[in-house]
Amino acid sequence: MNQFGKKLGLAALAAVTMLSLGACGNNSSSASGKSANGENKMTMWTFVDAQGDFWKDAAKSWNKTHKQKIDLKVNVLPFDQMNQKLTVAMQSGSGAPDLADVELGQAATQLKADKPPYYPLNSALKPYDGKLVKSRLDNFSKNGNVYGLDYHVGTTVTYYNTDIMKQAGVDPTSIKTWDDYVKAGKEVKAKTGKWMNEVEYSAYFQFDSMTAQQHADYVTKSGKADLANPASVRALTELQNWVYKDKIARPAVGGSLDNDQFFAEMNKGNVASVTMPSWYMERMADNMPKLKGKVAIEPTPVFKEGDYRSAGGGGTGTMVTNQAKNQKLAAQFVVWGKASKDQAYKIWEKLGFDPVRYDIWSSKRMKADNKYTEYFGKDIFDTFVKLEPDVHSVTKTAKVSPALQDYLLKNTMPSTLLHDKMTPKAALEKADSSLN
Amino acid sequence: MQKPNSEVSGVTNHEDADSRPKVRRIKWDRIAPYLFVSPFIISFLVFSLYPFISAVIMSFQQVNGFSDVKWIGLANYQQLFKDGDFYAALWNVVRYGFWTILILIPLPMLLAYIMNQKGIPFKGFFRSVYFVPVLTSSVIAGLIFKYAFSGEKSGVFNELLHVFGAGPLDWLNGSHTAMFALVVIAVWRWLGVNMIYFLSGLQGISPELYESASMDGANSFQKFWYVTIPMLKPITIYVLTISIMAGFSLFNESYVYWGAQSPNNVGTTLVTLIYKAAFSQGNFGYSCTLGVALFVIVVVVNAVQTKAMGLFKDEA
Repeated sequence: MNQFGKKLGLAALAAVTMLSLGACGNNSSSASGKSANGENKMTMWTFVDAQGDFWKDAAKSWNKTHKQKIDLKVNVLPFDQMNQKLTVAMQSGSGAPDLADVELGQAATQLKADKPPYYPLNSALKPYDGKLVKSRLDNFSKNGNVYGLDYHVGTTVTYYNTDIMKQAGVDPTSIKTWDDYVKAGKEVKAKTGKWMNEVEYSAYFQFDSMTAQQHADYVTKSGKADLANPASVRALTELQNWVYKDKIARPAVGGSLDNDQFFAEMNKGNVASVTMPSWYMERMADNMPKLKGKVAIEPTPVFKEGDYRSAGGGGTGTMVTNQAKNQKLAAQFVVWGKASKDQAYKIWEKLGFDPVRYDIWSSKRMKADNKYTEYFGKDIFDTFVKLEPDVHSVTKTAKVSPALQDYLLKNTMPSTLLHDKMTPKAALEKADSSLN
Repeated sequence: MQKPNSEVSGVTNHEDADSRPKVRRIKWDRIAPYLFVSPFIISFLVFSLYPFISAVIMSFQQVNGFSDVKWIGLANYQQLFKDGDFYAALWNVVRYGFWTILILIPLPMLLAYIMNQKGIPFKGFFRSVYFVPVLTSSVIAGLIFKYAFSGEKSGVFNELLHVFGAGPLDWLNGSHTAMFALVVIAVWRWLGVNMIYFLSGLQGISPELYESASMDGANSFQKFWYVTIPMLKPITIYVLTISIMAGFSLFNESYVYWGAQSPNNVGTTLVTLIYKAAFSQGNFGYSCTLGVALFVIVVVVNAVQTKAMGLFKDEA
């Protein structure tokens, strides 16, 4: 190789080195500007394919009716990976998308700072005042600002396997209180040998909803953990009794009601009922084909007269990051995408969720044929409408929330529900003392 | 570093007679080696050293959410020493390391010894069979094992127990059975790889040593004990070192089995805690503190181990 060729080779090598390093940087900021035809480029990260498709469709509809066009690029990433990437991008101040789907459990982390790095949706939400379920906005709020808009309300209901209930001779509509439920459970166990329920120990949907049902919360106004409040103690005691005293339930297969092993268990007809938020309809329709037409949706039983017959459970908010190029437009798009009438219908039709915009719940369009009405019958929303005023949630986005949830899952639930090692009161008091 | 030899690099300086002033010439043959190693050096500086230093700095900070960073001195370290989860995780990885090393050194060594014998049928086939598991993704393998270790009667391992009239066990929820589940997947996965290491070591042992041992009247066991094992020492040290590091950095299998929270910390590892502190609690400062602790522990353990095995002594 002559001298010139050698120099050239080295220069090329150096260039390749720099380029390959440069390529590691994330250039999404350049992708958030305007495209050649004047459309506003936006990127979005989500962790569910169907939600990605929903937003692609929303962008199309938006462009038909709005002057400022949006060119939306959706990236669907696995849940954990998306959360990691988003956290790192927000932490480092670059590389984040314009819009991101943030699940309620993660929202506490994303909104932890006193001034979260997200754009408030308040002004974009103004036109929809009074049409959205307020408790769902509170979930993603901090210091009076709303940072995310949820897909759904997550109305918690009790799903009964009607075959098993019939065999046991119990009418699900007659079950009004948890005492009734236990009595029915004993009938079911005695006559069919099946479980009335399985109790989660690696999730806490039912524990949360039972607490909220009693008008209570396990985080105080000042942000302290208050797990040992009487309502939560009562809720956990009830769950523990089902397993170890009444013997109408067992610790859930796979730890939760939202995993493949439990889906199989339920699909086989081994469990008579579950109490879960509305999005469980999607899990049933997709994973429990054998139960089609055999599931009754009823209000959740209560501890005593006056308690709420439902609760809000789970949730995913779409948020606008502070790295978005056109934050105001992005906020308007997010709110329009979920709260405008037509879009809200699509949330039900395409995603199977009960939309946060609830003034459409009683409309005829909610009874139209889709895979959910085929599975559960046409009157799903007749039940939901009645329950809407009863939808309240425990606080999930306080500063203490991530540590609290972690503690519940690794200590409290296993030692009271998976094993009968501690009384609920002692376990919850121990949690409080270690969290505060 | 030695001055590059222009004869070796094939460059001659016949252009030195050029009329241009000498001072302006760039000595490419001196710079070239640095340029060639620069991709590694730069990526090491940017992706390893820089994050390492900033992690150490961050371990003294409280990172509250994103922008809110506060210097808190040793508070994170104080929290670390009081953190029950940290000790639980440390105990888990120490136990895990103990069992994997106890199994994953003698067993592969023995297998390699057998595989290296003349006249073993289907050698190539068995070598591949042992090696294949490592090619699978640890996450997918973990999922399969998770179902196999199901607490239901129909779980694979419970079916096995049933044959012996025992069980069923709730594998993934008990402390000892959970450890068993972690060790089983490690053995299944790494047996073949360690075997390959030992095989390569065995092939480096001169047959003359065995011949002279035979002449001295050694039997097979004595040959294995007095020739093979000592000659495999460098490989053994290597396998031991990487096994210790793998033990301390255990994460994937635990995460697939239990996620970030295992009941009563039966499967919590140090990396699980790091991950959880950062990504599910947004507590980056404490996460870095755990990382620094892990670093110190691994360095100390490996230093003790290499010292004890006389690694440095040989080189002196």
